[in-house]
Amino acid sequence: MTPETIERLARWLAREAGAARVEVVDDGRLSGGAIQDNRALMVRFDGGAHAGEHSLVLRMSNPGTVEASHDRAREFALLKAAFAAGVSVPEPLYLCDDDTVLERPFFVMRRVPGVGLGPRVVKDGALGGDRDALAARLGRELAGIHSIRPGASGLDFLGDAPADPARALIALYRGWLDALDARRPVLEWALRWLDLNAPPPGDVVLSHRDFRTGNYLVDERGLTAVLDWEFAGWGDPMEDLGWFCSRFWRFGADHLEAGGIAAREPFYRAYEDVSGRRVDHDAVRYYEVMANLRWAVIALQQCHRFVSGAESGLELALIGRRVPEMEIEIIDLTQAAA
Amino acid sequence: MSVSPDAIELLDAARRALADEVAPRLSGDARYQVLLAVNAVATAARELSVSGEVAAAQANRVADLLRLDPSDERRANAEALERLLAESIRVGEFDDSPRRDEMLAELRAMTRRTLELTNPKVAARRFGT
Repeated sequence: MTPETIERLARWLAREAGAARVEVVDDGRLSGGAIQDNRALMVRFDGGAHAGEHSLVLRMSNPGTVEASHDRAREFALLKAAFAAGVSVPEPLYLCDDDTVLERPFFVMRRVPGVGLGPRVVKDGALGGDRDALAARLGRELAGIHSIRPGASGLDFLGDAPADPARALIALYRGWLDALDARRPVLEWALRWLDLNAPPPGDVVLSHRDFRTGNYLVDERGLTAVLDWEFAGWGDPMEDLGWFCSRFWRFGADHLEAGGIAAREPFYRAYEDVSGRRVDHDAVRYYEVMANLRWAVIALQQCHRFVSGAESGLELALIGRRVPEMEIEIIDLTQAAA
Repeated sequence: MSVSPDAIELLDAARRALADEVAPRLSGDARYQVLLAVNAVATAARELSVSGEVAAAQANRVADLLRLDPSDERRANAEALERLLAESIRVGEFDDSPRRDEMLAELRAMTRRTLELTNPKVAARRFGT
């Protein structure tokens, strides 16, 4: 950031915090997040609500966005709801919902130490503490997220709870696929199978929709924060469990079915203990098929940003080649369920 | 006209130069970008190596799955066949066995072959190839 930008940011933070003066040091871009731009800031507030020195993160949208992602104002509201529900998230502090301070809307939150990168979390045994305990902690965190129900304050923008969560998602993904004019037999089969096997509607809760290894931070003792709330919405509680356990979030540790870190059992049990809700194993498998479909469609959308000429990154160009990984899993999961 | 080195050999030489000569001297984002390029070049070379006969055989099996007449001219158009299969699945033509099992077996074989081109490491882990 330029000195002028930093000065504008400092004045804005002083106003928001009621501080006499604010000093900002830009510590550079944080890794992770193809979709968002995260910068580490050291901020010293003279007086006001946060007097003293704080390590913060500034989170700003990148120009190209994924179809389903919330803007920063909504993500900020979700973080506030999660923080209020006792979920381990970085405390959200201030939101700037216009482009008067920086070129795009952004918010600042507390910086939580830890490593997030999925492959590292899976492979580096020195991280995350005891792995069964980490899986159990994640089960409890997820139960906390699912304690947020339709009607929760500040989340009106999520709309009404769907009457039939599974079929609402099927319609959504069908629409995404058709908008790309993609006709892939396996993805059509996934949609068809999901429609034929949809579980009856039950509880509706706040579904994080990207709760998985790679989106939480750990230090050497255990979990420090659950991140990336930009896809959350009302859904079936089993949806997040299916996403978390999907093969592609095991980062190669296929036998550790709970996020590449543990067996399913400690994760499920802790979730049940805190939520008071039974884990429906068939419904979780169902939502694993849904998860693979969702990932495949998002990969196709990202690839389309390259094909359409909107963006030119090699990573986007290659992501479409990941789709067969999801397709083979869809075939195996639906064959096993027959 | 055939030239030597051919397209696949050129791509293979480019891949080796990037992987063996360039990548080891880089770190951080530059190294990551080069490794992405290695992956892209390797994938392109593998996809180019698929022979016309293999592609035609696959198209024929999809046509059989769709119960197309042997003389049906759509048999020659792999992309149209895939679209047709997708649309038939969508309207429920493959909901029930035995056509469902036949379709899944063929889709599995097709997807496996694609995966061996796009991501041989994942294919090896899954299929032990």
